Amino acid sequence: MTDNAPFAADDVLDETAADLRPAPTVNPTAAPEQEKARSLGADAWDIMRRRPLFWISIALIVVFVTMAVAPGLFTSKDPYFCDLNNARVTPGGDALFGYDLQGCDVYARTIYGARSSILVGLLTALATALIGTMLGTLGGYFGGVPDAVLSRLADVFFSIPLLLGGIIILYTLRGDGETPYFVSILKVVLAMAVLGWPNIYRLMRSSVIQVKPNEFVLASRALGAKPGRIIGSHIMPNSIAPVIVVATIDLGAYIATEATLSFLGIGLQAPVISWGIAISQASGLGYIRNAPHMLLFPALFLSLTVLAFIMLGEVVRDALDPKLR
Amino acid sequence: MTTAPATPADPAAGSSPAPSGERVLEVDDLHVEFRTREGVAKAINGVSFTLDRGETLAILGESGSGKSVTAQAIMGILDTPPGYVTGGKIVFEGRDLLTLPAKERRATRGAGIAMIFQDALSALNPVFPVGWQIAEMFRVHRGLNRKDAEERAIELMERVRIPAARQRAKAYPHQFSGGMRQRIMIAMAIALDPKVLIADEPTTALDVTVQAQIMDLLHELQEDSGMGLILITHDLGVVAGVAHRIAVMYSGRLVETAPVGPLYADPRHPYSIGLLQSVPRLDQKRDETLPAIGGLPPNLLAIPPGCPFSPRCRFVAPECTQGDPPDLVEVGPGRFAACLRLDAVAAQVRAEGGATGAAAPSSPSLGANGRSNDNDGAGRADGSASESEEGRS
Amino acid sequence: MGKYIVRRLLQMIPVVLGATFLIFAMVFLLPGDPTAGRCGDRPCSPEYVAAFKAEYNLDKPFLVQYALYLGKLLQGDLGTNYYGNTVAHELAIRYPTTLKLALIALAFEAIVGIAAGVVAGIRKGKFADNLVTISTLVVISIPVFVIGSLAQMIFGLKLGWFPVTSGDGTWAQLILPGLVLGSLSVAYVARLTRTNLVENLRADYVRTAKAKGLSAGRAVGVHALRNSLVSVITYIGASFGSLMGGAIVTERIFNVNGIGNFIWRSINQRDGVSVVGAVICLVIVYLVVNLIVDILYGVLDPRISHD
Repeated sequence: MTDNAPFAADDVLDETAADLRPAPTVNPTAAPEQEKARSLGADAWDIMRRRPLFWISIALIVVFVTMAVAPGLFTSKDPYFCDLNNARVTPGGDALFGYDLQGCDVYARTIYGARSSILVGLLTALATALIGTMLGTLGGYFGGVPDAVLSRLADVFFSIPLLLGGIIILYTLRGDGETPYFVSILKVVLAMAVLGWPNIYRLMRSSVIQVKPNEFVLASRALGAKPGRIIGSHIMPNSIAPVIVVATIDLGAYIATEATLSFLGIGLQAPVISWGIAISQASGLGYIRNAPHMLLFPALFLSLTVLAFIMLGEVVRDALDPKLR
Repeated sequence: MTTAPATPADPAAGSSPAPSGERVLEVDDLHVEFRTREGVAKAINGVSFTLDRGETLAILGESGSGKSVTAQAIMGILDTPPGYVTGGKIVFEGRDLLTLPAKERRATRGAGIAMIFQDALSALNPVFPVGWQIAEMFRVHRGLNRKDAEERAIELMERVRIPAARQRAKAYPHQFSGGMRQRIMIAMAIALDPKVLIADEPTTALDVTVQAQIMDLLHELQEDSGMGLILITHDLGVVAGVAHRIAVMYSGRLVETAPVGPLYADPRHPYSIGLLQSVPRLDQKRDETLPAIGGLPPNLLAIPPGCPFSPRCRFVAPECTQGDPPDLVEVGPGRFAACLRLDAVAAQVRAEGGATGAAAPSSPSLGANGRSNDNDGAGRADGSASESEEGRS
Repeated sequence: MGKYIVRRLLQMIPVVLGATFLIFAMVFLLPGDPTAGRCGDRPCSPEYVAAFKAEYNLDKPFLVQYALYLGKLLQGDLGTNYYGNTVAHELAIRYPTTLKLALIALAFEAIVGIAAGVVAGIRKGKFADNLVTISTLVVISIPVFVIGSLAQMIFGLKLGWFPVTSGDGTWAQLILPGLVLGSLSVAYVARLTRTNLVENLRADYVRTAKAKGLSAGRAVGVHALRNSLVSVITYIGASFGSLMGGAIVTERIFNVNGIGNFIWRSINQRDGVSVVGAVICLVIVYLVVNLIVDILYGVLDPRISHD
């Protein structure tokens, strides 16, 4: 049913998908041949590296990924060490960002919170990209029955908004304080990946359908190449760039959704350290009035992380899109 | 011409009505450039011509020669930026359009000078009924109310012979065939009885039989109203039947202008000669290679010194590649050509048996003696004046 | 047009069946005891478990379970929670508030989003364009619950422009939550309008409009904008899905007594019947809105519906 509707509710990326379709470059001045010979990739790199937003997002991502991998580099404090005597103490002195409700150090907990967010975002983006690319290639390349079945299936999964579906799945799979860290993470990843793959599927399927009738593919088939080889050496290289762009933007969106689910008390569960949980605990009215630092710092880190990935994806998309030049 | 439209008049003599001599449009030393990231592309470099009431002027050239840019500059619909008119005059009804206040200039658009485009499907707005789009002319320029304007639109659709016009007025552009869409474009353009109609490749996107019908329609409308018609095309076949005069454009300049008959019989500029020779002929020998103009039009960002055609010209001499480009000089009654070696060219063409004669030279490569031919020199024999993918006649 | 609507309706049937089946499978097929977490913090009593199993026919074959469940849905039966209230009743008393909230958000989205997009589109590459592009990027990057908490802190507490909470659900109380709820979509609407307008301004028919002697205002405002708005209006309709998800967060922050807050409270009271019933209701509303949007798309773009 969403076949022709160009935009669906929480699909934040259809705009991206539409923009990435190859468009002929129009040059009123009869461009000389040698300019056309430059590859799209080299051109895109040239454009990207001149944009400050590209370097800002790269720098932010490097910082946050380092934070996720080695939080010890940023703080020597133990995020689990809490002293109720310090509860809600405002920033200053020993604690850069102050203390939270239980008297834990907000700075240390914010630093350690990066790991869950980035892990969930990365794993979900990878999972959806993998499933979406594989199924999209199958549907787009073989057409017919497999395509019809996969596309209707994608329609069904796509028809359930990410957050609503995530609530149902996570409510059913609900854990508690005893759930191991990775299981807790994987549940959230599963919930979002189950509902998120149609995005990439649709993108990949339409790319493949666009590339397939090209003459170099026909030639390769005429020469007797097997489908696997045609897909691997002709179709993938020509359709993977948009998938990477959308997956990058998605990564940011998944981090935001994970935080939202955790905020609602249904995503990650304490004692896992997560920005969403921290913000949820800090967002009571009385706390906002008296101890806004508990809210501000995790919120800032969360927003910057999401921003970094979305911004990177957009800069790459703009660079790849000849229409915007 | 193999695809000449079936007009009643004899193609070689030009068609009636004879121009009355009343001048409706005068373009004088027009310059247009595109300021792009790669540099300034000089698209139009001093183009001058006139158009009389009832006259049909064909502007002929390959893509990138500046013919469409000329039309857009006259209409005042260049995209600015990147396109800028940097010099010259466009005099319509005694007033220079380029110095008119924006509001007055706008009032002449559609009402005084109208234009039809090559691809009517994309030139018509997809989300409004065609009747509404034609009626918009009356509503905006004449202040008619919606109902009256739509009545007038239906009359116009009948005038351009769209069957069942009253019902079809409510339909959308994609529901019409290509020929019918072009008729709708024409109805819209002639709605306010313009003095000048510019037709930019009006038949390129159409089937051959439909092309003839559209050209007939334009011809008929012109006879009725006496408007001046500027026909922009790369198709020599279209031109022959309907035009009175031809202006050949190359690299943003006019290289030859002449009445249609003399130009076909005896082209003077090497580029015109090349164009005419590259048209396939019924009396051609089967094994004969069709001559083509080798090479590509110059890059407008860096036009070579001297005559812009010199890199592709088989008559090239050292003096052609230096100094300013040659000016148009009078070569006969009402005929002008811009070439430094007109006499030598004429002599050689005569020696080869005439530019358009049956015994055209089977020279293997017209462009082989070009100075900077980055082509392989074999030339291209696609038999069309346009060397781009712009379409065939 | 009639044919188009019928075709759309027919195409929707498998999607609705699939979506309800998927939700059903998520609730009853995933590993775990389906009655766990349905009775507050304590385990369910054996009587409740027996009643629950009978209600959902859990002793019957799976497909029969689904068919019976679907039959109940069609009758508007979303289940009865542990406290003995039907979910349908709980939703019925709350939906006017949520609807008001959504209407404020939609109006904000449409008016501010389209206006910002148009300004950015016609001034492409200029200051206004950069301002819109960058500020929307920032808004998109800040999760709704952060925007909500910050807005509450700044506009409610510090500046005192708006009521801090919205317990009664009056229009005045719902303005700030409505703006928060619409903030994400406003950014997307602005960007979409801008992209479409920039693309349409380059279209041949805009050049034709200029050649017809129309003013720049009419060429842009009537010809280019009318084409750009086809997908923008469709998007605004379809943004309902994210609005409903966002409503859960927004209503929780501002303590709005609507469906979203009901879902949040049910999650925390471990009232699974209410959570699932309410979310299914929202998904169905979303599917219906999507269908309407699809039909609207056909009305707005004659090329679609006349094929």
